[in-house]
Amino acid sequence: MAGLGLRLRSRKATAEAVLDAHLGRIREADGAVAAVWELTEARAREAARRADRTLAEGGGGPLLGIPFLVKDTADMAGLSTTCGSAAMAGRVAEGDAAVVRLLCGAGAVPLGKVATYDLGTVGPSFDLPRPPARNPWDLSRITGGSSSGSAAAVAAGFAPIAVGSDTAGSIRAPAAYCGCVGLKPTRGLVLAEGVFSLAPTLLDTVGPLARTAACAAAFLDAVAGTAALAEVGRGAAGLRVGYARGWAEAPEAAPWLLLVLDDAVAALSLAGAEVAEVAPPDYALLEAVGALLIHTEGLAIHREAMRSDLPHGRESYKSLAAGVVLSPQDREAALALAPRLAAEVDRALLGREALVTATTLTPALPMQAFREGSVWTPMRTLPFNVTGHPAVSVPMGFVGGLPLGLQVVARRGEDATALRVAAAFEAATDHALRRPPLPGREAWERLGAP
Amino acid sequence: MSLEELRAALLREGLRVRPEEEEAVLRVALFLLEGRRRVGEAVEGPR
Repeated sequence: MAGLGLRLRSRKATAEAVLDAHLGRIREADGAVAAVWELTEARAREAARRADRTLAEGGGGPLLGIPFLVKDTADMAGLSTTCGSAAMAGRVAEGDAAVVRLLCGAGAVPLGKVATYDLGTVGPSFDLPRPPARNPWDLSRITGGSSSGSAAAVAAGFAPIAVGSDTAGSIRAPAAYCGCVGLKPTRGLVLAEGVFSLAPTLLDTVGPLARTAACAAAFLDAVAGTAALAEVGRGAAGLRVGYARGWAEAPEAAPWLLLVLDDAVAALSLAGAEVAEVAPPDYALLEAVGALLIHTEGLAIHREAMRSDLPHGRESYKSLAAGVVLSPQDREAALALAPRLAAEVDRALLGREALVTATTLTPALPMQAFREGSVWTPMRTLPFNVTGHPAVSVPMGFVGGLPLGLQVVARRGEDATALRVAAAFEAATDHALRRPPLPGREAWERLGAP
Repeated sequence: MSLEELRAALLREGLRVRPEEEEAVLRVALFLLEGRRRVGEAVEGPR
C-alpha cells in the first residue's frame, strides 16, 4: 500500500484508476474465492473522485484513495448487516459503523461487504445463504474465521485493507491461514459502534486485515488516532522480544510447526532483536476464561432468536447452544480472573517490548473435513482477547504452499510496537512478497461449486 | 454431564437441537465444563 499511496500522491495514478484496478481484480478472481458479498461501486466511485480532487489540490494522507472492504458484521449505510445468517436477512443499516466512518473520513474508498462466518462464530458452514469464502492459496482449504472474507480478499488482492473483528482470534487466525497481516488492537482502542457483538465485555475487538504491517498501521492511525505508521519503519534493532515457544509445543500442532517458528525467531534475531525464550502463562486457563465469556455472553445475545423458528445456521447454533451448561456465576468468575491473567502477561512483557509465538498450530485445513463434521482448529489467539493486549499476525513462512502466521504481542496501548516488530520481520524475510497462485475460471470450474 | 442432562438443559432454555447434533453440542459442553473447573480452581483453589 505504501507504493500505491506514493503513486497516488505523486499523481502517477488516480484514485479512480486504483478503484477500477481493484474492481477488475474482484471480477477476475472472486468467482473462485467467494469473498465479496456486496459491492458499493457508486459510493466507491464518488469517494475515489473526491480523493482525486483532494490529491489535485496537493492534499493527501496515507489512506487517501486506498480501497477497503468491510466484514459483514459491521454496518455500511444502506446495506444489510446479516453476519452471514439467514436469520438476520434484511436488517438494513441506517449509518456506517464508526470504523467505516473514520476510514472514509481519512479518504479511503469503501468497496463493499465481504464474507464472515455465521454470526461471527464458527465455520465454515454450508447451510447459509452464501457459500464460505475459499483460501486463495488453495481453494480446497478454509480461510479461517470469522473474518473469512476480509482475509481472503486482502490475500487475493481485492483491497489492500479490510475491516475485521476479533473475539477469539477472528482477525489473526484467518490472516495466518491466508497469508496476510491481521491486528487485534488493544481493547477499546478502536470504536466498536455499529459492529455486531458476540462477547462485548472483554473480548470483542475491531481491527484491520492488511497486506502489510504498514497498511495495518495506516488503518490504526486513521481510526484510533495513533502514530503507528511512523513507528513501523524503525526496524527491530535493540528490541527485546520474549519467545513463548511453549505454547507451540502441543500435541495438536503440525509436526514441522516448531521448525518454522524457530526459523522465524532466528530471522527476527538476525534483524537485530534480542530474543530470549520465556515461560508463557497457563494457556489452558486463559482459553477457559475466554470460552466461558464467549458462551455465556454469546448465548445471552442470541437466546431469543434461537428460540424462534428463524432459519439458523446449524454450526453456530450448536456452538452457542452448548452455553446452556453455564451460569451467570461462571461469567462472573471468568471476569474476576481476567485481570490476574492480564497481569501475568504484563509480567512476561517486563523488560521486553514484545512476545512472539505461533498464531495457529496448523495451516488452513481442508474444507471437506468441515463438511463431514465439526473440526477443532487449534490456535493461540484467545488469550489476548482475555487480557486486552494488542496482537498482530504476520506471515512467517509457508509449508506445502500454505502460509502460517507469527503472532507478535506488545504491552497494552503499544500497538505500534507490535506492528514495528511485524514490519521488521516482513523486511527480514520475503514472505510478504509472495502472492497466491489463484487459478482462472477453468480451474474454478474443475473444482465445482463450494 | 450426560446426554440426558444436556437435553434437559436445552429444553429448559427452549433451544431445539436435532438428534444428530447432540453429540457435537455435548463435546462443546464438556469442554466448557472443564473450563469452568479450571477457572473455579484458579479462583478458589482446587476442590
